[in-house]
Amino acid sequence: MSTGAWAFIVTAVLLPLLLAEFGDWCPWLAERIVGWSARRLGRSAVRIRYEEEWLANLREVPGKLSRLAAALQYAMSVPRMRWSLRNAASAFRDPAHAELVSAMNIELGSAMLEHALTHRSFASENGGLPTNERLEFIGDSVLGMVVTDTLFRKHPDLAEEELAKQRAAVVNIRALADIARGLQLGRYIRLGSNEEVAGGRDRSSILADTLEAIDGVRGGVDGHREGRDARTQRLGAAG
Amino acid sequence: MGHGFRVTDATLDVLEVLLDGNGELYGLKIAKAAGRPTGSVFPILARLEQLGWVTSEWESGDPAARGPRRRFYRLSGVGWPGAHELLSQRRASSRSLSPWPVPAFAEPTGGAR
Repeated sequence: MSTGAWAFIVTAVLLPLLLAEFGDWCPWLAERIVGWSARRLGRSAVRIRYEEEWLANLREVPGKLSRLAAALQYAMSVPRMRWSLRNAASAFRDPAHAELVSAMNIELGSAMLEHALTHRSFASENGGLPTNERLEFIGDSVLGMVVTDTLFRKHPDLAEEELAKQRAAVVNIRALADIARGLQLGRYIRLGSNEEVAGGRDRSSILADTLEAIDGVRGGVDGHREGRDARTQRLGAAG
Repeated sequence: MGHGFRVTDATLDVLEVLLDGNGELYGLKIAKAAGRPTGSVFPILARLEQLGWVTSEWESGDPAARGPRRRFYRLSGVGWPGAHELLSQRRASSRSLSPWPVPAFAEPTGGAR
């Protein structure tokens, strides 16, 4: 065959075929790359989460080649992801934290959880660590807001006094401490030795405050229904 | 200082998107809104989540009906004022701060009002 014919076959037939083949192959390869990247993130819960999350994000990228480019970005972000998640790995090496996190059904970083669990008695005995009091302050508002909102929606006909009364029945030390006891929160509080001896681990005020501190971290002022519902269920306010 | 993370420009961009957005923010959407690549946004989100500034939850709905679920990010009770403070320090000139968000109250409550 003449060179002209060869050139024709290559440019008009083979090249388009190869390009089409490559194009079809790109999305498959992209997903493989993302899966491989997620698998390099460490413990299995993290792996599974990011594999699904990243795939969902990847599938929204239009175009075959740009999807491949996006996948390569995930692959390149792996070292930084591993660095970001380093604390997470250490948090879940502490089985007590893992238990609490699953009991409360929350997503919480280890540093923040420790902060929320730190009673001032522990903080002062350990060289002035940050205490959970500021978190408790904001958690108090978050809880108040969540309960107020739920009552407001649920009872469109109730007067202000009655709403206030119902809220007080739900958001008070005794009710919060009962919830905390149900979660066995006392086991996880970081308490100073004096408080420990004085029975602080089961004291209502400490339990209630710690629960509020955790809610301060969890937030939820932004109306995500799922989060609010989980909390109001715990508080029994929906009933 | 004191935040537990390096406050880069990209971090500020991400926080800005989280502050302004209302609900259903997932990685790609945040990356687009922040004008940053996803490869840079996900590590930032992971770090913020670690520190308790950000929480996340799976998109709800029937998992069998669709493929992989998206994961929605939002600022936590601590992250909100933290991000507010940080942005007003670093970007005071370039943004006017929105008030504390209470969209839960703004949703129509059907006959209540």
